[in-house]
Amino acid sequence: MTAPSLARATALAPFRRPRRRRLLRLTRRGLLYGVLVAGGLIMMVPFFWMVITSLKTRAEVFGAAPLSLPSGPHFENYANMWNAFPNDVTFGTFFLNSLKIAILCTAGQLVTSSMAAYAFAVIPFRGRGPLFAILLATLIIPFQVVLVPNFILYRTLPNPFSESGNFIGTQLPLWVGAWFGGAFGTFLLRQFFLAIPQELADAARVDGANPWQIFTRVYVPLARPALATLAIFTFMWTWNDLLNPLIYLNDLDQYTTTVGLAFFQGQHVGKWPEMMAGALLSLLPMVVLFVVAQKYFVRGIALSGLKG
Amino acid sequence: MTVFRRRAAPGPVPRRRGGPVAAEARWAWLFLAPTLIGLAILSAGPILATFGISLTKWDLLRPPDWVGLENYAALVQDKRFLVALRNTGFYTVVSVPLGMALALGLALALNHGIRGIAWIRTAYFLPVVTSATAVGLVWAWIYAPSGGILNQLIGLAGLPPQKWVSDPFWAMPAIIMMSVWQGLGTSVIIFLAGLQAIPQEYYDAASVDGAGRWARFRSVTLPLLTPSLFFTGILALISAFQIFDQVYVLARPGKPTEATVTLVYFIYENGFKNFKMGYAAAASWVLFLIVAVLTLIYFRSQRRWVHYQ
Amino acid sequence: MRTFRSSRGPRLLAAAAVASLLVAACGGGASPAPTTPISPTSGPTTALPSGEPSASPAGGYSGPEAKISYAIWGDPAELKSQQAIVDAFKAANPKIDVDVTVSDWDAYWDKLQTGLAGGAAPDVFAMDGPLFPDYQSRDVLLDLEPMIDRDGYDLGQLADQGVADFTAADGGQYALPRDLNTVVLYYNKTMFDAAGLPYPDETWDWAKLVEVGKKLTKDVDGDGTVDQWGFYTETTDMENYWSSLVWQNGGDIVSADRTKTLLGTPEAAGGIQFLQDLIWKEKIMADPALFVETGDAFEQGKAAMESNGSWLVPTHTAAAGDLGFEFGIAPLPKGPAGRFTSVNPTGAVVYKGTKSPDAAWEFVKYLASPAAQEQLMKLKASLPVSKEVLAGPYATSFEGARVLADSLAYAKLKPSFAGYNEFTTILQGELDANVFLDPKKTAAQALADVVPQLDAILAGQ
Repeated sequence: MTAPSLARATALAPFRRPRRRRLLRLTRRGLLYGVLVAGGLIMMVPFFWMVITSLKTRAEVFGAAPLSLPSGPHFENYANMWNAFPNDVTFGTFFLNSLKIAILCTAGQLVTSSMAAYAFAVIPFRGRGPLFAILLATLIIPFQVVLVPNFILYRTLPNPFSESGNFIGTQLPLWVGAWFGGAFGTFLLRQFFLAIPQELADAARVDGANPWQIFTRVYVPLARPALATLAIFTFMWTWNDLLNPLIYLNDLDQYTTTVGLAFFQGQHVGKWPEMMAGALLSLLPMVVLFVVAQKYFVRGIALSGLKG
Repeated sequence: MTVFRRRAAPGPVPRRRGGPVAAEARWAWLFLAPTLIGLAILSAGPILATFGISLTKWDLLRPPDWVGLENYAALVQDKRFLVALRNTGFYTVVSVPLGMALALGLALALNHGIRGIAWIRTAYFLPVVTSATAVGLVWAWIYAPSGGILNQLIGLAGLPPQKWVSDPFWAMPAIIMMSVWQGLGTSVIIFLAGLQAIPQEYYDAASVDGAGRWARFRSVTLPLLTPSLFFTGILALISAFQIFDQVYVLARPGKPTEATVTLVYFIYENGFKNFKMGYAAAASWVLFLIVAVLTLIYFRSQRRWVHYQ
Repeated sequence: MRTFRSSRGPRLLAAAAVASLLVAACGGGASPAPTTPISPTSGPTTALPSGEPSASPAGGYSGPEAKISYAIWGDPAELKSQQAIVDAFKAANPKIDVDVTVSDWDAYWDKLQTGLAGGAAPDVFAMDGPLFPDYQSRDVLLDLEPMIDRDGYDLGQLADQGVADFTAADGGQYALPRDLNTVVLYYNKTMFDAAGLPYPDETWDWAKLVEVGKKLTKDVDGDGTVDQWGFYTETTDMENYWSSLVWQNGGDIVSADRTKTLLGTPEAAGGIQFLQDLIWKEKIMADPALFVETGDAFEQGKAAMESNGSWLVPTHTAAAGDLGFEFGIAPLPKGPAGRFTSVNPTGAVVYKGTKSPDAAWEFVKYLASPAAQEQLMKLKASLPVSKEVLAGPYATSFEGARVLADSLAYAKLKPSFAGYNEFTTILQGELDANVFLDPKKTAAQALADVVPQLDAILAGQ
């Protein structure tokens, strides 16, 4: 409930006196704030643990309690992790690879899923229901079993530009698929498109707009929260994907951050400080994306032209 | 409160009108072109292949051997499979409602325009992007039998310390708690987006009608949030049945014990450790059947409780 | 997704350490050739670049230009070490280009099997001893015997167990070992000194272990709970201790023909029972649940002795340095039936469908050559496979290395058979749940319960 409407609502309550009303509101607000902040701090505990671990020495990680503060900020952990790899490959290389693939996937999903969602939600056509069901069904099979058939597929498809003659050993399998629709994105956006009143589309249709124009001028702007949500999820899942880069990539300089970080867990008792340093750096783009995308959650939807 | 009109959930195509709709239908295929190609080649194709694989004995290294439904018959008698089914069922039944209720509450709370709310929201989102290893380690520390926070807390209440993850009874609840905690962020985002999609006008109209906060929630927020609830519910159901990472990270020692073997872990271990990919594929199609049936029921029910405009 | 790795991983580090020390020992160009004769090749030998420390037949490759891919598991340190080996190989063999691909242990097998299923496997890849039969029996590995005969390669120059582990039942040799790991007893010298106790040595037996362990198990900070234990080991894999115990008690894990399990015998049960007793009866070892999440108790300075593998030398050294204690290495205490420990080789195998078998073989030979073994030796984490290096430079490369080298004399191979993963999942599941974490059953009862399933798995291979 936003502040103005709360004010309006309480303003209309007939039997409350002004001063007590304000006190009540402030207490409620304060309590809410307090609970949220406390909860937020609890949520941040692993993150906080990552930060302090990345600044400790290995001895401190095991010798002292997990949440104890480091003796001094050991930034060399970051440097060690950055330079840990041979052949001029640094953590930065992995970072850039991850960034590139995640952006490509997110863009692909936003475009193709929204198009498909529009078709499923707004355009009546025969076979719509069953087709949507099939799309949804693809979510259910765990990827562990589809991994091998997919691999075989990418190995069979010819690719004249790659060393192997097919898609294995390139980064292509990691993002090309995202440009061919996705069940999650389509489902999510379909829900949002369904919730947009038909009157708007009808009005545009009456004005002579074709479906593409209705899509781009009416639906997409209104579905910004959903698009922002999809962007966050797609980016996050692509960024955190470990198995696919591992299976399809062979060259160290093509690896992503997930694969690079996995090496630090190689020791029986891992190099926690360096690993957490890497994990923290990995985390940053997603947090930035989230903070930026929040604006789309907050911006209310102004439904201009709606006639009651 | 009849400001909004309830639109029937999309079903089979009706239509009394002729020309414009048919023309529009052609547009549909244009919009769907990338998705259809993707379905045919990249997803449905390989998925159908896994069904074929489930009818074979395949160790990945030699060509597959046709065995028909033998894998399915063996599954029904496999004790470990049944245990995995039970564990996964338990996990789903507890974590889905719990997660959704908590996420809804949080989303409602985070939907305010309080100052600094953006940073608070980011805090709730952090677990989602924090590395699985870090999350696993912190929870391992929370659950540590000696010196772990949880044991310290319950010690204050006079209860004896538990082994948590290493204890057959508590292992799965421990994983549930960690998963719910980590998954909150994603559901909260979806609910937040859904809440934002509710036009302010409806709340205003409700206030004008004299509705208090709870009444507004019940008649404006909740009904208009049902599309998001529906969506999150299905995804939560599907992903609960596919739980794997948390078990892999937290459930020690060495391998998941009986108490924490889940369906997808069973599938993974048979396909990639025991050289039984055919068997693994069969297990995943049993999983598919179960989830598909549940999803179908869920979808049918949307007519009753999901409101579209 | 795959996050935690089994304790086998860091072995690689050890191998790298060993080999690199070898390189250092061999020094400049005029080193005496190891026992490998220069291979008689059909074409002109390419001239070795000057300064090459090894006289191994690396320059014997005379085939067409080839590009081979080499896949390993490892962490960044091992990766750098392997990359150095690869670079040296490429320098010695300009016609062969080698691409190293590395994954973490858990994902390595997923990637390997996916690749094999899809026909896109690496030419040379690392193979773990116990998993070798599963791959060899499925006909995806190249038999190296013809090339060994053709080049007159002397397998006797490599550690016997290492070679034997990759010899198939039909006599074919499918890999050359690349490094070995054995299990020894680490001990915290500082704790022993503080208690005035003599260090473990080769006279120790089970009773002595318990006796000294009890003296070193104490409540150090006086809060009423034990926080220093006399002993620690990992219970989740047979290699860390319990397989050696079974052998030390006169039992075995599988029959020689690998068709049935011998864990149902009283001797085998006795070995495992000893470990359960260390935890729950003699109480010189902590409840495994306490350290499952936090890691090695010895490295945290909470255990006076540890039975574990040679791959831990680098991390133990680092931990000891950080925490300020000194550690030593001793042989495992003997059991009623004698002294035994476990040895587990890692080998380099060649994919059967490789397009460049000769180049791959050249590389595999190089990995086992003194030059490469010296590079590996630098990491101090595994034992070299070359007998000469083991007896020579390795034994003096760091304190305790001699004990490791000597342990090969009484080491038995970690059991390796088709169905290994399924077998150990069932077995460890039972042992962990009912014997080690919670003494609900005696070792004999637990084993009796699980032996039928294990036999079924072995029979089904």
